[in-house]
Amino acid sequence: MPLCQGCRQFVFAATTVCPHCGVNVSQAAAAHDDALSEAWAACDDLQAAMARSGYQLAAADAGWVPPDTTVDVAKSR
Amino acid sequence: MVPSEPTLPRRFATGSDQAARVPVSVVWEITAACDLGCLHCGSRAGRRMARELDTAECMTLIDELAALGVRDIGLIGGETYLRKDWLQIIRAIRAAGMDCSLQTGGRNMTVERVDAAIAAGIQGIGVSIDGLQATHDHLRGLVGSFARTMDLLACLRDRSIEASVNTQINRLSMPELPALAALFTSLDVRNWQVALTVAMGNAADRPELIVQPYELLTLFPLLAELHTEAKAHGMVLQPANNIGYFGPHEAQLRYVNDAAVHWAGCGAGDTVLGIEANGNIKGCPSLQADYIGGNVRDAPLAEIWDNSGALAFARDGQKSDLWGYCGDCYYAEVCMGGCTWTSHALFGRPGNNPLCHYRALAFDRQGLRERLVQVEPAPGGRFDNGRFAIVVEPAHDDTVLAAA
Repeated sequence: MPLCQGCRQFVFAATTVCPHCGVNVSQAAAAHDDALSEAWAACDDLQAAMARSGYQLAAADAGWVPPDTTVDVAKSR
Repeated sequence: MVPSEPTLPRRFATGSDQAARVPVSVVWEITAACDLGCLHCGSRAGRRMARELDTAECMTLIDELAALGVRDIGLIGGETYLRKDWLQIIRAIRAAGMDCSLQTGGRNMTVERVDAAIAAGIQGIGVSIDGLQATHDHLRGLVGSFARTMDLLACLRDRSIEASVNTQINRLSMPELPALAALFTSLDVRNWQVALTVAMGNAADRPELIVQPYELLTLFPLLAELHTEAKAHGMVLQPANNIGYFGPHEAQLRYVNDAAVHWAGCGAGDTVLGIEANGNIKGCPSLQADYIGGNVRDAPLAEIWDNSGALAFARDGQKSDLWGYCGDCYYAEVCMGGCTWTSHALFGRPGNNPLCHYRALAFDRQGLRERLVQVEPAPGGRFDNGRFAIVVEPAHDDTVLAAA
């Protein structure tokens, strides 16, 4: 069963109007897909930008591994 | 960037498993002997059953299970270690290529026994913890039993084995769920399965323990919140088969590897099989005696699995079998009344399950609630149940359990 993207409750594939929240299921799904595509694209952009700035993704999906950003406190004063 | 392909544990049934009706996952009660006396024990475990399978019969059964395509066997009791041959059974299961885990109350699961089980090939140990110290000790009927579970979790944390916790949700343990979640994450527990206490066996003698349908209105938002918090701490909160159904938290609670999945009806006798200590075969180990499909002493397991009508109720069930609210529910044809065991324990037959969040919400929107009242006690045998009636009444403001 697909999820109604209006209320995140499951509906039957043939359901056109969500019985729980009243949205048009296919329109809500299309809007959700668009938003998701934008989000993935933003992730790609962010990943590319961070790579350019020296950040690297950890191999085991453990999060971001920052470059050496140690600041020489004496110089910065 | 695309999401990674989810990898399902071997105990999860695939579409091809369902099409071929492979009993992927087996829960095997290898003995009814138990060293605890739990107030909510559905099987009323304690003493060994008459004519429990002997070692040779267990070895034959393991071969039959492997031949049927079983991939995962969970050993339960009673207490598994109260059988002298429990390690031999584990070794044989592993040697036959099947995964093996066990469930324990932990009273006498010593470091030595844990190490022996690991050496025999056990891959996971689940510990039953049903509340904080006072509640757990009360429900388990033994002062000090909670401390033993803590010792056991500490032992498992130091070993390369999957440790999980199972918690029954009842009117005593429910307010303590947030504290339990914090405790388990602090102990590096990775999997926490929660199930409603079902009015069966000893629990049928204590109906005041059973969560009322209207209390699900408090429970489910709480579970959703705990699910989120647990995930952030690396622990998966898994709803058991009687936690449901549908409703606003279904996609979150029943997710698998970040994929939104939903309850798809009782899997008993479809891809799940249960074995009692005396060789009785059921579609699910928790089910009542009405669902015994045969005994492995009387017929080959494959013959029972293929031909027994008592195992076929779930896969052959029809929407028209449902009754009460469930019969007219939007989700009827997929949900099929939720957990067979739970509804049968209430009414002596499946197909109408008031312990449903979606249903409780529907009543609440009308300013109503359902309340379960026991009208007939349980007779006192293994896996027995009494009878309950549903009272529909105006919702009250005093019904919300304190959720710390």
